[in-house]
Amino acid sequence: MINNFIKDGLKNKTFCVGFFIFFSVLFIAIFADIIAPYTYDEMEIINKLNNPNQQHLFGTDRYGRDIFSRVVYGSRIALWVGLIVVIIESFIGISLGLLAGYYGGITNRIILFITDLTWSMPPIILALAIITMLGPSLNNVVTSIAIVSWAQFTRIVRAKTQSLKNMPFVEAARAFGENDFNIIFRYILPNVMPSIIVITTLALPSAILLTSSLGFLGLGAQPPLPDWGVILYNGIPFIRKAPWITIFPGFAIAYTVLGFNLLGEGLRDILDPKLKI
Amino acid sequence: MLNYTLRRLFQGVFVIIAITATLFLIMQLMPGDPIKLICNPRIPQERIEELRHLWGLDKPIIIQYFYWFSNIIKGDFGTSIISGQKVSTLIAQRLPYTLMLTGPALLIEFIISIFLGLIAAYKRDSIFDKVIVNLAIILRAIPIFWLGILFIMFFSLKLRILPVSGYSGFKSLILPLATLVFPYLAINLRLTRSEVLEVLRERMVLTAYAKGLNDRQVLLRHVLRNALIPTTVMFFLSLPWIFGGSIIIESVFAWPGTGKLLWKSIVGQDFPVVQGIIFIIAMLTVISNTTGDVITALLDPRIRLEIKGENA
Amino acid sequence: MKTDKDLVSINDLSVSFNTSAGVVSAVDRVNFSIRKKEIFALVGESGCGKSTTAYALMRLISEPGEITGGKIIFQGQDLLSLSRREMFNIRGKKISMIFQNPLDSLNPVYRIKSQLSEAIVLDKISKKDAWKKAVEIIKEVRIPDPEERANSYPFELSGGMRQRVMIGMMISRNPQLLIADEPTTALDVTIQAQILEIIKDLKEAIETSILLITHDFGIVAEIADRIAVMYAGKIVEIGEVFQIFEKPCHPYTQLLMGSLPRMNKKEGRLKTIFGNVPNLINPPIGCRFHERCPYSKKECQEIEPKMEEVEKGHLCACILTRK
Repeated sequence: MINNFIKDGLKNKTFCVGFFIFFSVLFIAIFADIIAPYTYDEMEIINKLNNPNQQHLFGTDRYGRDIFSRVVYGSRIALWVGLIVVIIESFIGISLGLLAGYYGGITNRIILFITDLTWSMPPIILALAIITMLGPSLNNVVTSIAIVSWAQFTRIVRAKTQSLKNMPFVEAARAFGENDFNIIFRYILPNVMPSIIVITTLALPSAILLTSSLGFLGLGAQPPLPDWGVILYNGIPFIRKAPWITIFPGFAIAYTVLGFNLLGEGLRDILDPKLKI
Repeated sequence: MLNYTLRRLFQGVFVIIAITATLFLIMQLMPGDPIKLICNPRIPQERIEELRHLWGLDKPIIIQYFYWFSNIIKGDFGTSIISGQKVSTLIAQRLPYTLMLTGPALLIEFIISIFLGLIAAYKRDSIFDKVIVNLAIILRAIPIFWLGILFIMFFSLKLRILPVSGYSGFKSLILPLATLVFPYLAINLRLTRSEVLEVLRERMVLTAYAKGLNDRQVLLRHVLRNALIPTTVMFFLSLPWIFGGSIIIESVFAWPGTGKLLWKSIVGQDFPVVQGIIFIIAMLTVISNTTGDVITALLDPRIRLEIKGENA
Repeated sequence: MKTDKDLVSINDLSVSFNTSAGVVSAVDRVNFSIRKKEIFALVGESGCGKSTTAYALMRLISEPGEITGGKIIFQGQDLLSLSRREMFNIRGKKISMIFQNPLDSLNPVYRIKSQLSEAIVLDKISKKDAWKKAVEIIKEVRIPDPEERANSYPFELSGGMRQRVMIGMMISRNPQLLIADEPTTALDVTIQAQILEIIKDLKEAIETSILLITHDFGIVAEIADRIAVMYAGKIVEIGEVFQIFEKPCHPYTQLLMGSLPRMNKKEGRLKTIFGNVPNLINPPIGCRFHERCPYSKKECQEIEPKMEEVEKGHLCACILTRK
């Protein structure tokens, strides 16, 4: 089965390009110490607001920090935050989706209500409120995004669980005497897995975009952490004098998000083409 | 039909209460004290307590919420803690600017996405289609604030044909509007395209051709008509999200709308203003969801049948 | 061989499908003619290419399929050489088609009346007159309460009624040829009989020819005048109904006839044809049936049999018929 997957994957152009981009970002994040010529908080005030040049590929900011290094280290934050956020929100979202879909009735209604609630507010507004409540820091960014986004898992998992639970093989399992827990984990969950994988890969770029949006509004990671959105935010006063401060981190965000989007779409074509996201 | 609409709106009231109550709770749980924030630190404690009592902030949360809700129904949005102005005045001053941006943006992106999505799906795998789809994929990955900044850099700073920020007449509307339109256009375009592709696979399209209809008649009367059903639902469901985008846009372009006000009020813990704006957004959410449901029923007779069944 | 009695003549028609696994030769140099005022049945098992042939006649083949060769002569014109716009004038008016599953064949959001009149107005009839004619057609296909039914939506009708609406819709403009692609397969047996009755009666009333696509020999026996048997994309035998039923020539036809359960005979196990349909991406050279044919000889693997007349009006594509 894995062999088939690899074969299908290589045939799918979208998946390949997406994987390449993802891999390149991962590579940069892992080997940031080697790739980046400076650390992200090294200040050379003499060299502040320099044009991109040989010493500073992407130029410097108002404190003389090398933008290239900051962007490179920023990849760690982006990937790290993305990963943690998606782990948390997938855990919540999938569990609730399975419960709502399998048990139906009141459980379904309650979970549906909470899901719709979370989903009906524009995510960034809710995230804004939560992070202001918790105080701006990277950890709180993770929490607020997770709270705002778990609903995307719940909806699809719930729908799939509902249709799966009436299938003959589940009925057979029940006739065998399997208890609910087993049925959910050993029969239903593996069949929902392909969709979950696709959603996960698409949830990551949403998380990254949301993180950088919060950073852009000044409520993300605290200085001197080089979150891409924060670098951009710091560059706003200088868009005339030093546009490179805003151009390069934005490009990094777009590149990474694009990669994950392509990866997710490629996976969807391979694993579950009918999934509508 | 009327019954159904009223029923959905009634359910919507609960949604509004739930949303505003949740936000209320969140605001209450915020650290710090808004009274202290605006007061001179040398003011004696009793005065602070007096002010707190005046604002009603010493009562239990549920009572506060109740007061707030009963007031807002009467149209009294309360007073801003930070500026002392009536919240309704503050919002009324700024709402038109936000609507000036979001209204046309929604209309433009809906119409263009349907039009392009239909053609792209019909000419599947042609150069046109590939270009459109790839453009949409790329646009979706670009952060809105970065797009806005790039636009400013190119059109305002380099070409100098459009103003950099703030509101100054029609010309200043163009860049923020464009920035708001593109990302949502990208998403809706792909959705429409995939819905149209699905309809094109259906046998009734063959029937239409077999009857002797030409391409235009088949595409407009059968394909589009059917693809519009899920597309319109998605559009109305995602309508509130454009307010999220407008917060960022208003920040980038220093646009005097409610988005910037909301941000300032959340950060400054100005409860009444936050509650007021959230109330309006919640109302708009309910109205747009209900409108989406009603329009679906109007477009799809099978749903009307289900509704009749529910009513019986 | 085209004669004056021919309405449409299909010459060397070939259709292939470009799939990721290879090019599927679904229809390979098919030849037959349909005469005026006859019911011509195209018979074969699932996947033999009969539906594809029908779709090719209407030029409704779309990606990944394409018509790769041949001519379809209809009223002096080669349909395959007409422009897209010219085909719009042929469909519905001169040649029309009813499909297998009436549920998905009708648009669920429009009323029956609109879907019927949509076709009628194409002949420059006013909307009001078209609506009247629509109700008449509903009456003609024997649906009770025609005025009420006209305002219904497709999902409010039963399968049999929907198929009748389809038939009515497709003969409303008096086409010369009606293609019926497995018209009764998705319906109950009792309804099947009714639909067949309607088709027969309509054929008499408006003097149209019918190309009936089916795998059911029972239906063929009921209403067909002539039959063509198809196997793996090729026509193997053509003849009048009684010729095929009483003296089937091609081994495949013989086996098919033999596998039909008979009411008057006591049979033990039902006979089947061993083996599987050949892979059409790499079709066997020579006769496409040779792997399953009980009489196959060495020549069958090498030479492709040509259609030869074994008696008047009866053609067969098997080298054994030479004897």
